[in-house]
Amino acid sequence: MVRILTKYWDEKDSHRIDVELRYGGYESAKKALSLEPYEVIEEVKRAKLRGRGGAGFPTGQKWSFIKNDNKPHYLVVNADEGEPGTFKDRYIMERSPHMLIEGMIIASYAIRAEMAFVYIRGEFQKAYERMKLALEEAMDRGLIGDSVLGSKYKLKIVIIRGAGAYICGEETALIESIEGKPGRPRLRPPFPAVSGLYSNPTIVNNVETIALVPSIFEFGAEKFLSFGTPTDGGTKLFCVSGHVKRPGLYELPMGTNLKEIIFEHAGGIISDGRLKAVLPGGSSTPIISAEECDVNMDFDCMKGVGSMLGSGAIIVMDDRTCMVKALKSLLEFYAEESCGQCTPCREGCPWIYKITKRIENGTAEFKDIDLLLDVAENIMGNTICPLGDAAALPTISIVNKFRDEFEEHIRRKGCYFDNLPLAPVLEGRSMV
Amino acid sequence: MDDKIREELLKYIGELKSLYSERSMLVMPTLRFAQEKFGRVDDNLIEEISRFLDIPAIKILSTARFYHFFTEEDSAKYRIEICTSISCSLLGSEHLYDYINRKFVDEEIKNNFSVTRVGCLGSCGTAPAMLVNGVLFENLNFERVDRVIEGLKSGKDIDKILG
Ligand SMILES: Cc1cc2nc3c(=O)[nH]c(=O)nc-3n(C[C@H](O)[C@H](O)[C@H](O)COP(=O)(O)O)c2cc1C
Ligand code: SF4
Ligand code: FES
Repeated sequence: MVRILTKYWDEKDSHRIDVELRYGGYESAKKALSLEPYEVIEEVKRAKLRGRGGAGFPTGQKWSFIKNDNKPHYLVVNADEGEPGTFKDRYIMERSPHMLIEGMIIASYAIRAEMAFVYIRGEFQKAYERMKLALEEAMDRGLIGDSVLGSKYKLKIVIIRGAGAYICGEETALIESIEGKPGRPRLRPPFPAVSGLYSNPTIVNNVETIALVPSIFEFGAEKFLSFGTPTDGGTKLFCVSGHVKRPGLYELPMGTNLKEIIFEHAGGIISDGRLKAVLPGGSSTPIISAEECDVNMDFDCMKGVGSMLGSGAIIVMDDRTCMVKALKSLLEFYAEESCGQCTPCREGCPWIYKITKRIENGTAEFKDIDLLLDVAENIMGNTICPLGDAAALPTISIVNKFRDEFEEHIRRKGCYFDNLPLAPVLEGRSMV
Repeated sequence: MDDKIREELLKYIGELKSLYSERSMLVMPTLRFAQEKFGRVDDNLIEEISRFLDIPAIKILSTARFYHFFTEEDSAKYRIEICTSISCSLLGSEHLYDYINRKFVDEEIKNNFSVTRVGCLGSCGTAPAMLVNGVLFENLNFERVDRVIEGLKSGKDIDKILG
C-alpha cells in the first residue's frame, strides 16, 4: 500500500533535511518550478486533490481563483489543528516538516506568492520547534529565500503561533489573528482568494493538503489520483481514537472502508466489546451508528450516509458509551470556543450544552429533548462561520439516532451507564 | 515597568521586525513572548508593546484579552491542563480530572498548582492527555499522573519526569 506522507516516519530523525533529501525531497519542487504557475495549478486539478481541512474543496480550483494582478499574494498554511479527535497535522510537522515546506514552495509559486505563513496552534511545542528548525535548514541550503532552489523565484516563509483559540482554525479568523486582531471570522464574500490577509489575495490550505502537493509532481497527477477514488485523489491520514485496540494515525487510500479501518487497521473494539457509534470526521460531523459503518471514507460517500469526511478523525464508541455524556463533552467544547459575534452561536451553544447537562444529571423534563433539537436547528445556517453548525450537527444526529437514551435518562432521573473506566492497557499504538 | 523588561521587549521586537512585513504581524508573537517571559500580559506590558509597535493600546488590549493564552495575572507555578474533549473523555479523562482535584487538600499542591479543563490537545490517539506548563503528557492513568505530580513537587525538570 502506498504511503506518501508517512513514507519515512520510521527513520530516525525523519524531520531533518538529510533524511528528506535522501528520499528525494525538493525534487518535486524543482519540477514544479520548471513549469508555468498555471501549469502547476492544472496538474493539481487533474490530481483531484481535495482540501484536508474539513470541507474537501478542490485545491487546484481554489488556487485558480487567484488573479494575475500586481497585488502581493499570500499563502497561509492552516496548522491550527484543534478539532477534537484530530491529530494528523501535528505529526506531519513533527515527522516530516520538509514535505510541508516543499509543498509550500509549489503552492506559493502556483499562486505567485512571495510570502507564506504557517499558523501553528499555540499548544504545539514540538511541532513548532521542528518547523522552525526545518525552515532554518531550508534557508541555509538555499531551498527557500531570495532564490528558491537556484531560480529567480523569491519566497519567504514565516511562522505565527496561535494562542489558545480554536476558532482561529477557521480561515478568516486565522487571517485576523495574523493581522494581530482577535480571531473573529469575517463575513464572506469576499473570499480570502479575492481579499484576504491585509485585503490581498490569500490562499488558506490545511497542512495535510499542502504536504501532499509534492507527491503530485513526484508521481504525476494520474498516478496520484489512482491512489484514491476517481473523484478524490491521493492518500488520507485517518486519525483513529476512542474505543479501539490500536488507536493512531493510519495513512490509507482515500475511500478506504470505515469498517476495515476500525476492525482491521485499528484492531477492533477494546475488551472485545461491541461497536455502538462513530463520529467519522471529527467532533463536528454527524454521528453514524454501527450499522451505517460499512461506508467508504471519501468526501462523497460520507455525504451519502448523511455525515462528512471532515478532518478524517474517526472517533469510535463502544456499547458502554453513554451518548448523552458523549454529547455533553462535545458541547462543552463548542460552548467554550464560540467567538461570540453571532447571537445564535454565542447563546445557543452554551444553551444546548446546559440542556444536555440537565438531561445527564437527571434534572431535565421530557420537553427538554425537543427544546434541545429546536435550539440546535435554529443555530444551523444562521451564523457567520460554520462553528455554530459544528455544534448543531452532531447534536441533532445524536438526539435523533439515540433518542431512547435521552428519554431513559429523563425517566430514570440521571445517567444509568457505568462510568467508563480509564484507558486500558492497549495492545499497541500506531503512529503510521 | 522596570527597564529590564522594557529592554527585553525592545530587543525581541527588533529581532523580529525584519522577518515580518507588517507591524501588526508582530502583535501575536510579541504578546506570546511577553506571556512566556514575564508570566502575564498586564496593562503595563500592553502599553509598552503598544508604544514599541506604534499600534493603539486598545487594539493590543482587545487582542490580548481574546486569547486564553494571555493572562492578566501571574499564573500558578504548575499549570495542569487536562483534556476533557471527546476522545480523552471516552478513555476516562474525567476520572483523572476528579482525581487531580481531590489532591488539592495537600497544602503544597493548593498553593502551587492549578488545574483546568481544556479542549482537544491533538493527542487523541494517545489519550488521555494533559499539559503541564505547556509540556505534553500522554497515555495517562492514575499511576502516571501521580508520578508527574510527585516529580513536580520534588522539583524535577518537567520534560524529564516520565523519562
Ligand atoms: C470552527 C472552524 C475550525 C476550523 N479549524 C481548522 C483547522 O484547525 N485546520 C484546518 O486546516 N482547517 C480548519 N477549518 C477549515 C478552514 O476554515 C479552511 O476551510 C481550511 O483550512 C481550508 O484548507 P483546505 O482547503 O486545504 O481544506 C476550520 C473551520 C471552522 C469553521
Ligand atoms: S458562528 Fe460562532 S464562532 Fe462563528 S463567527 Fe459566529 S459566534 Fe463566532
Ligand atoms: S480529545 Fe483529548 S487530545 Fe484530542
